[in-house]
Amino acid sequence: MTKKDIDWEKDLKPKPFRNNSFTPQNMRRVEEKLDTRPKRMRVWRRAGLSVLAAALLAGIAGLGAGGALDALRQSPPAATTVAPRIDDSGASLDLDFPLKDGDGSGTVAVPLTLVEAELAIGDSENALPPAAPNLDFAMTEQEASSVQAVMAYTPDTGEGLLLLAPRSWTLETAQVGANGSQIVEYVNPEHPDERLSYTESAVDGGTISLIGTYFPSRADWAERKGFPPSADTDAKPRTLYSNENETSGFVRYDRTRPGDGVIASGAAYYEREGDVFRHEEIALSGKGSSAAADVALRFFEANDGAYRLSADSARVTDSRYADEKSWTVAQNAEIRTRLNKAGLKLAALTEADQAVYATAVNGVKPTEWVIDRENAAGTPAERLSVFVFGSREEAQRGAEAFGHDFDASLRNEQISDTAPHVLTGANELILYWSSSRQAEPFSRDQTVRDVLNDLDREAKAVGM
Amino acid sequence: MGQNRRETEELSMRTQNFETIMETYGEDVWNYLYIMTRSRELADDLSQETFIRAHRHLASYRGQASMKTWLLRIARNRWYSYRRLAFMRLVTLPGQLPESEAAESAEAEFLRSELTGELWATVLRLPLKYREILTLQAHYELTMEELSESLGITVSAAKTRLLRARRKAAESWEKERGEA
Repeated sequence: MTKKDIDWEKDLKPKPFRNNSFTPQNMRRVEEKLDTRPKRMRVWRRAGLSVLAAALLAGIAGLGAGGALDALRQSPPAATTVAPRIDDSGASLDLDFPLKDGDGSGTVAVPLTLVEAELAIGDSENALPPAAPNLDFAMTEQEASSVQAVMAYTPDTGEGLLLLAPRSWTLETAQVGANGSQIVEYVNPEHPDERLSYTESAVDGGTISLIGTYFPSRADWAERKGFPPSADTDAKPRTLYSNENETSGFVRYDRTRPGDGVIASGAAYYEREGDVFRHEEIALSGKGSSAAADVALRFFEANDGAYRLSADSARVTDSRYADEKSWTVAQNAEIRTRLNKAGLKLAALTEADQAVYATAVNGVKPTEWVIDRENAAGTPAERLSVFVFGSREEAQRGAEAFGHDFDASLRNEQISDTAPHVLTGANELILYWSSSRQAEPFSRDQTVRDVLNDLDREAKAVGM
Repeated sequence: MGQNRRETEELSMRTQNFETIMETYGEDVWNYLYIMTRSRELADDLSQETFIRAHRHLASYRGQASMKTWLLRIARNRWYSYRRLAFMRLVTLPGQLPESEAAESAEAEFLRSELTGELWATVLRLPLKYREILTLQAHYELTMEELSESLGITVSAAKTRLLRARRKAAESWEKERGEA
């Protein structure tokens, strides 16, 4: 067979290998993985708290006097549960907590995920996320290693909540209801029956009934108000206290089952002024996460619920940020806001997205965004990887380091689809990932450059 | 691809269980991934991922492409996702990615015993984009339109790439024969 007589279709028609290498073992592994894949979105199938959470979103006030929990159990969920959008493309940030039992100067780091909560109504206005706070809740190194933190903020106001959850659990829901109520849920992917549900509402009737349910001394008061408490007798208080006038109170409780011991631990807090009711319950099927659950509920107790993050904290200037990490979060939010105003329609990666590039450059990790995801018309949406450095010079060095590594790694098999445009300005390095499938690859080059140039001019004007 | 064939496959997809789909197309998917990756371990992992992904999206399969083409497209996406991750590992851990001598030797032994023809050996030595288009067109019988769709390039670009691939493969073939 010579160059002239190769018949490609004929000569390459036979299969390349003598034996079938996709073995029954391969098939078994596929089937095993399909069987063990955790079922998502089970939350609404559960009675009790999950249904309660749905109703909180829908607004509890109209439930009437029939008993809040009873009525809720009859109701279908009024809000759709959706996966939260996660900023910062994963846990690239840590949050520092004071070290317990130390000399007062030590800290322990807990991984932090920044989540933009889904709004039940209204559109996101891309408010800045809150800055990372300085916390005074102390924990030991062992406790810190058992938990993770989530900062769920509302994109229309920029306000947020900070919670702790067992370290290996995954975030399933972060939502803001039409009445301002909020839900955050985590699930243990290894044991989906184990989950953390945090809810908070500020609706008159619903909160009265809930206060009566979890605080026995307030049951008569709730009854008189026309919102009788639920007959939830499973919750056995461990700690229960209120202020002198019982206008606010806290309870820590366990649910037990004969033979199984504690199957859930929870906490609730209320304030009659403002009709505030905050509730967290952690369902457990074993002892593996009980220590982490205890830390999470102590954090709840220390803060009368989730730690509150005000919108104001997002709008302070660079020099007032508590540390480099919160400054990075704010810088990312700032450039995202500007790029959105310029028409890029940036969206954070979802759990279904594969990050194009998640490697640190000179020690700085990127935040990745999808450009105009909904209008990609079947082609892969373009992406931006944004690196925030400490200075303009560091950003330039980062660009050089990235270019050097990237060229070296693709020297043998250059694929145009994976070559980004590298753009810098002020203290930012942006990798712009396009594709030959785009009708006009890299069509946003100038837009990104303009935004970076604006930032550059502003930074120079203030001497940065 | 005829309308009848599409309808037949769609109907077939609804009635066959997933195990049958894996039995029918598993070898094609694995072979394609081996030609792309030149690694049995990767072909194993990625073919499993391909079928997991396919299972998850079976309901969205509408028969616009044949089942085989659809699966090959998923396999290709899995491979390119892996390449991105591999690229990241390469940047993070310089020198960690190249395979060990033992692994290379094992792959060579596999090819020596399993390859059905010398022309396949030549194809496997081609750069990725050439061995890919040559295999998809000559072995998997994708049309120019299907190649264009699968590779994300225009029909014209697919034709050009295929011509270059054939030329490159033929040159390598002659050179290897001359040296032999």
